[in-house]
Amino acid sequence: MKRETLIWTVVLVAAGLFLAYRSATNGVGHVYVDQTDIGWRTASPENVVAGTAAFSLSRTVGTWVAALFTLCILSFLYRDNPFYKFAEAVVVGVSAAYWMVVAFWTTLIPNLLGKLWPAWIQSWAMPGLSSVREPLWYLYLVPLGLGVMLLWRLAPKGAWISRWPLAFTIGAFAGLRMVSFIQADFLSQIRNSILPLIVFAENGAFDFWTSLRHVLIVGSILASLVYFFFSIEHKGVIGKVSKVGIWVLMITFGAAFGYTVMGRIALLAIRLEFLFHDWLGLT
Amino acid sequence: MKRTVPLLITAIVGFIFVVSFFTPAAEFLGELAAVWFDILAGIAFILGGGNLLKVHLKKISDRQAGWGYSGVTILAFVATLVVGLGKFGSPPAPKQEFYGETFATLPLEALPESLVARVPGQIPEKENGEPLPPSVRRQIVQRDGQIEFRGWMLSNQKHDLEEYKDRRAWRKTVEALYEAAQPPEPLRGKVAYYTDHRALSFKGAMTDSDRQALLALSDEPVWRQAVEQLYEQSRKVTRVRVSWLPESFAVPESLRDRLRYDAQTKELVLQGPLSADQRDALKKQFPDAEPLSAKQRTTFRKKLESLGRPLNDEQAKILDRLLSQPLPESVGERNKLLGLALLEHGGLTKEQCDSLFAPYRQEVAWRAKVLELFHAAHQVKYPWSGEYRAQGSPFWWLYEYAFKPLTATMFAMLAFYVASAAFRAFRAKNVEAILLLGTAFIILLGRTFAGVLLTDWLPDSLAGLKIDNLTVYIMQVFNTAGNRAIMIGIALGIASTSLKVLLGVDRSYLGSGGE
Repeated sequence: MKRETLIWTVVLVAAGLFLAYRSATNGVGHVYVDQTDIGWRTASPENVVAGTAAFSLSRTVGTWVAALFTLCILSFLYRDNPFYKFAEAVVVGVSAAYWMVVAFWTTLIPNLLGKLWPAWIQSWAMPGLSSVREPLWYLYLVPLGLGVMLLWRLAPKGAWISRWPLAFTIGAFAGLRMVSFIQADFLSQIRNSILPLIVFAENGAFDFWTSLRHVLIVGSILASLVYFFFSIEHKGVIGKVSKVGIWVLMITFGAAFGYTVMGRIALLAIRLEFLFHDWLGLT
Repeated sequence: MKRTVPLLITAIVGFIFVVSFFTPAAEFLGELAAVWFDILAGIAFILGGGNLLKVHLKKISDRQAGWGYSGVTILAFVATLVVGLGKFGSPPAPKQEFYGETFATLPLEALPESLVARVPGQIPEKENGEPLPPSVRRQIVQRDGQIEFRGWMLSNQKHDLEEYKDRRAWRKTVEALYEAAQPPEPLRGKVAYYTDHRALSFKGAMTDSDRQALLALSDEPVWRQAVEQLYEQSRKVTRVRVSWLPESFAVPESLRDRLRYDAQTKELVLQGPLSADQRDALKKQFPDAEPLSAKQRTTFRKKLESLGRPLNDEQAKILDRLLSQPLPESVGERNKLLGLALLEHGGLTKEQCDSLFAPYRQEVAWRAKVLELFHAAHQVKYPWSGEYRAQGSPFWWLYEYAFKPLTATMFAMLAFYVASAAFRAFRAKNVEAILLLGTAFIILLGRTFAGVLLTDWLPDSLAGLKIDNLTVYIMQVFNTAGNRAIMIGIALGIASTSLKVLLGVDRSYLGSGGE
């Protein structure tokens, strides 16, 4: 047996023994539930202590499954392996179906079928819906038709038919984005950047630090914009200003990098907390 | 046809959005197109699922490398889809279940003539041609100078009608119509007709006199059949085994004629359904705890200590405080509070815990029995109306224990890769690299306890150099400036790209071939 295999075997056996010990003594990953008027909910720690919470087999199994899936994904840090591939296959299948189900119940049922056949939808899926059709209900036949055309892409022939709904989606997206980006990102950013460069406090005294901050903000924005202006060669004064713009952008990228790393670390901490607290009950 | 029509669709839809933004009259077009867009996005998810199946089934069929994992993907996909679309394990929506009521199916057209109320008047017309509210539209007609209403008017229907036209005369007419369209006196408040649900409804258990009163309204077979069905269903007897009753058990006033305890079979016997209020009244069988006198508290403490270890001073104080003050809670709730507090301040033996928590356990067990009775006596009206992601359902289980941990861990793994890539790539070889590296370092440190502690010793005169202040300053000044410049650039880029797409200059999304 190779040394590496031996080490991994020892580590895995030790982990297995530890899990078996914790299961026997503390009940690893045990989940308890309280009965409420609207169903079973995760029990409060007080009710677990008081002995009124009920043991939930499905949620306990779920915690174990979630823990094993977490470990399967983390195993990729070592190298690609069958456990990771298995978890990856599951996440692809589950997420594709998950978003399909969400789209079906939150969009297609209320916004499409509920508009076209409200009485039918009201009779089984949405009792609160009025069974009377809206005056312009037939307009919803258009997205239904476009939807069928979109699904035509799955057919072996006539894939071009799906271009119509695709064109609709792209047109809608382009029209919507053009206006919203000009309004929210272009105009409002410029509006917010028009700052007074010399600021006086309420008592009439010169506010040096706020003035400096405003000068730095406006100067940095202008310098960065100069860097993005490629119609003029970046030489002489323009070159120097664009150099400052690069520095500002580098600081921005550094901050974005720091935030991204911290965000991922926070996610990792949540997963580790799940493993050590919710599953193993070590903390 | 294959390329021109899509180009036209793109241009028309895109410009509708642009025009609707600037033209209030065309706003509804933009809203409509937005809903269509949502619908197509929803259908795109179905297309995605279909494509996934197609690709993976082909992989399995061709026995390509890793086809076993494709099998796992398809299995996970189908299982999630079936439990999600089928809403398995999702309880019906409580708001639409009409607890305490029994339904019998009866179409509006089958309502007898005696249920048509008439008042003199004219249904007003709105200037914008808006029709009557949907809740009453099928029940109300104008005939021979009179307004006819078929069925019994509900209070929400009255409200909708009153809101339809803000005129005093109209409100008066609606009031008269509402009074005329009510069930006969002995049935008022008990019987209702829900047009949208095509159901005749009865609250509680129907008595023989109620039945006779309802049958007297019409001899038509459909009506009689519905009444008989309602009579049978509303008098259904439900039994739930309860081995003990709370000491202070009393049947709530609203259930006096319908609920009893069979001491021989040890069952709670209920006739008809329970409403949510009746359920809550039945649950409340445990009176609030009274404060104990000094003598009673001593006895309580002695009894508790006789079951295990003596209480320490702090525990004794807690016991004295909690038992001497009036609490708006039952004995069980009070003892639970006491038990938890005593456990926190010194511990108790198992026997002591059992003794303290026993009343609370009884209360919880009683509430569970009441819930069992409530659900067993209820006639489910809409089994598929519940939340598709209801807690406890298989779909929720897959989301909570598969989807969430898997995706969260995948994103979390990026922490390692980003750190590893940074370690390999970051080299402080010029000013730009030093700025990037330095800022990232400061931001990272500033978001940790260690970073804050590192510069905590700096005097107030140099407070601006503290890591946490530096972080704030970088974010407020340079990061804001850089991000604004980038966002302005992005907005200009998107606007120009969108225009190119809408004007047909950029046609790359149509592909190159004919198919």
